[in-house]
Amino acid sequence: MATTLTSIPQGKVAGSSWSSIRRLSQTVLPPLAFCVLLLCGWEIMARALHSPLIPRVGPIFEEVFALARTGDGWREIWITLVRIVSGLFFASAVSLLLGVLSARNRMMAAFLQPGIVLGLAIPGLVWALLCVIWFGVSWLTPVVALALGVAPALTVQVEQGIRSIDNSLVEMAEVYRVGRWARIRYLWIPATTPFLLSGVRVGFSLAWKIMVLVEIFGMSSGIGYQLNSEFSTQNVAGVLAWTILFGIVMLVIEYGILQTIEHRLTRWRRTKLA
Amino acid sequence: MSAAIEFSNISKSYATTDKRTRRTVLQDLSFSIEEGELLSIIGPSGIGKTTLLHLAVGLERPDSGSIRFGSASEKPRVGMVFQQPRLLEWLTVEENLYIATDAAGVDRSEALSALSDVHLEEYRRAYPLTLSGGQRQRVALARALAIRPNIVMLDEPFSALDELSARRMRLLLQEIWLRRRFTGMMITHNTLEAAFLSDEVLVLKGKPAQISERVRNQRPRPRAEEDASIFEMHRHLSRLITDEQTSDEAAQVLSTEDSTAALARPFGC
Repeated sequence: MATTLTSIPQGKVAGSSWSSIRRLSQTVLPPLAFCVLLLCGWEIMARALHSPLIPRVGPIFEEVFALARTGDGWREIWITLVRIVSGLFFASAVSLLLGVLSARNRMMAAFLQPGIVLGLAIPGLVWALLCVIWFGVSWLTPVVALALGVAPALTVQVEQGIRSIDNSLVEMAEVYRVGRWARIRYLWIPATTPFLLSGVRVGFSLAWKIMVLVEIFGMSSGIGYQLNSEFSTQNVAGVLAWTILFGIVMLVIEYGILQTIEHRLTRWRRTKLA
Repeated sequence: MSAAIEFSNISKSYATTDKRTRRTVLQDLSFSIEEGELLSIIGPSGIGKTTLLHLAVGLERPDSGSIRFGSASEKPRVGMVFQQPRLLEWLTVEENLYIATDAAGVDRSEALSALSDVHLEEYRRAYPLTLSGGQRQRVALARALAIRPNIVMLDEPFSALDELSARRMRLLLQEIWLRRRFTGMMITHNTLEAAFLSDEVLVLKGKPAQISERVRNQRPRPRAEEDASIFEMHRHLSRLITDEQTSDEAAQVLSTEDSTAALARPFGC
């Protein structure tokens, strides 16, 4: 009896540690392998071409460490991030309003349709140039350019999310006379969460591209401005270093913040009874 | 006994697909359900049974006529069990019930008591996705009971379940009715279900739908599905809805003396 009692927990512990190792190998190893392969490929190419335009991995990472050590890199990244978040906040507010209106009202959807199609087709470069001309070197330039560039894609996500809500659940809420706020909190927001999260992802990736353009053309700080400076001195390692640094920040946002939120909000999908 | 709900001269029509004309589904339908009684409505598909239920819960409005709840002074609380459970999958079982109790202004302890009635108290913190189809439908039943309803509407509540689960659910519903004596209105295609659970069965026929027959079942509860009188009523109801004949004609078709006698007197007597 005693043997059985002690052997069960041990088996469980061994099983759980094995499964966590397996999970780790499935989630962490593949992206890590991708990064290592990319660096190896780059190094091979740099050695083979032997050109100052393709620096080797070593000098690129020396630049990255230098930027990270001095603090200048983080300061510029912070400036760009604040601009991105401000623009995204503004774009999200507009998109939420337009997306809800468009999903709930057929006439409004038809009215907004050409604007959304045009908005999706116009390149971010156009908004960047126009906003620099209109607002000059001002905080409005990046925020408005980003909102104009990102809002159409976000509006589509919000609209799709709201349209995806199961009408039978809305009917159930009506029968049980669930109040407006409770419906928004317990029905509308959770049901649209996957679409909103995907919208935020799309928004972030678009925002970073538009922001760099705005900073190149019309700002005197931020990553785009720094990239332009490195470009003017033909410092390819510098351009790559800034890109890598910002890429790391975006990965931290994706894996550290967005995926954590997503994991938390959708835990009901994975829950199994013990 | 007083009427818990009263339908008076209810008519309802819908626009046809070409939108030029209107098709009348229900015309001058009147009936009532007494307090603590369970009434079933049976009839062919598309006759307007679910429309009747939607009118009762306020999802649709009648063209004419009125629906009056017995306790008209207060806002009636209506619990409903749909064909599908319609649970919010991102909320736990108890949270799904709390949404209904909070909206109805009923104490949350009622939710736990209803969960206990459907024998699911141990699953209160489980998410609906982890439950079986039958368990999910039991949660939906608990949600309907948790608001201390004036009436419970059941829209083919067991039709999406396999026969074994449906049979268990019917027995559970009877067990709960014996404990709570709630008033209920059930739409069903299953005549055995109607015969087993109901105090009265309305048979709808025709276009627009009319009440072709009212069949009372006075057999005391608890009942058993294997009971001869339940089976007899089930057969009678089956004939009524399958034959496209009036109730008088149906009575003539029933050839055995027992069946004719069964028509003449209330079932279960």
